[in-house]
Amino acid sequence: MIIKLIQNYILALVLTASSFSFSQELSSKSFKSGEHLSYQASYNMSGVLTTFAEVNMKVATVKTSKNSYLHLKCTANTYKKWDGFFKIRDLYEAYVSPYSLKPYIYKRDNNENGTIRKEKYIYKGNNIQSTYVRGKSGTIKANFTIPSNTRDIVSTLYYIRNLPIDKANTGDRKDFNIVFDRKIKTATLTFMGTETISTIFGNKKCYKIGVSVKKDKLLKGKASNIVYITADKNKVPVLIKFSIPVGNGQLKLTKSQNLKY
Amino acid sequence: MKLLTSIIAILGAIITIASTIFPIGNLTIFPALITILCGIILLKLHKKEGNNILFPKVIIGLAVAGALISSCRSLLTADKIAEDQKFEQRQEKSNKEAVEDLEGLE
Repeated sequence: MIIKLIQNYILALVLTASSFSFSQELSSKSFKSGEHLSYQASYNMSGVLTTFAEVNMKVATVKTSKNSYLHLKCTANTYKKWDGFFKIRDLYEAYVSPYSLKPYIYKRDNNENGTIRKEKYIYKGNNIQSTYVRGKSGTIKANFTIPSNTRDIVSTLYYIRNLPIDKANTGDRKDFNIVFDRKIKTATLTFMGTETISTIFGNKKCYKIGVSVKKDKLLKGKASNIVYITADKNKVPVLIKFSIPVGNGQLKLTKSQNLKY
Repeated sequence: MKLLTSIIAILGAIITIASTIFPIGNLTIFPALITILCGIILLKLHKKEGNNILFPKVIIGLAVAGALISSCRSLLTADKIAEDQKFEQRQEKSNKEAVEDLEGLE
């Protein structure tokens, strides 16, 4: 269950990055290399929130002999107190163009209580060259086609943060494609207006966005999965509330470093 | 009534004590409260019948101890992640491999 929660936290974070009726052109970047966001994940048990993991999101610059790329990294670690019961060390990362945020490589390296799952996508136009490892079953290599504008979850999140959410109207909806677990998932985002909530930055006006995923047992539901993004130039996801069949939980921003504005 | 309350009290006490092992913090209070409530009912019943009141006292004591241990643990244990060199190494290795893949794409 915790594995699914972590996955859904990240998925919910990423899905927030949807585009509604926005144009597909990027507006000014809402983040810079060096940005670090840290979240506390908690699960609601009988009305009491129990913290269990920390999720970190970092942006760095990576240089090759010819080009430079943005390295978008997301890690999930269970707290020390949980490590003895269920230890999670998950890594999700994407290497994207620093100008268009077009993804070149997506990698996933999960270790959830000893269960290993690794995935690598190399984008080649509308094709993905994938490498997949699960447990001791060996490496599976496969190529598959994706619809245009399909992105992985990590690059989608950052891409969305750069879209002009301020131009969306309450009730606006948008379906978009995201590749996860070698499957294309269609997510629907609904702009639910703005709300002022308590954050690490004080009381902050935030964009409220509902997230649902078609044909997904965990993230279906209309407005039960909500992401709050600061209504400023940084567009920082500060709070993610989610609901799944076995309960609900949240991911709350606890630390931020090197925000662009 | 007395038998049912005793069974609930014993189960509640077991759950309360078992919960102190897990890092679920204040959640232990729920089984503890139920156990204490059952303990008080049993205490009154035992007193009314003139029986020995050791059993309800033990039940209440276990529930209170369990709740206190869990609450203290959640207050004293900070939400921190452990330093994990293996995980750091995995990240560094992954980055090196990705740079090689990017070089291959250029």
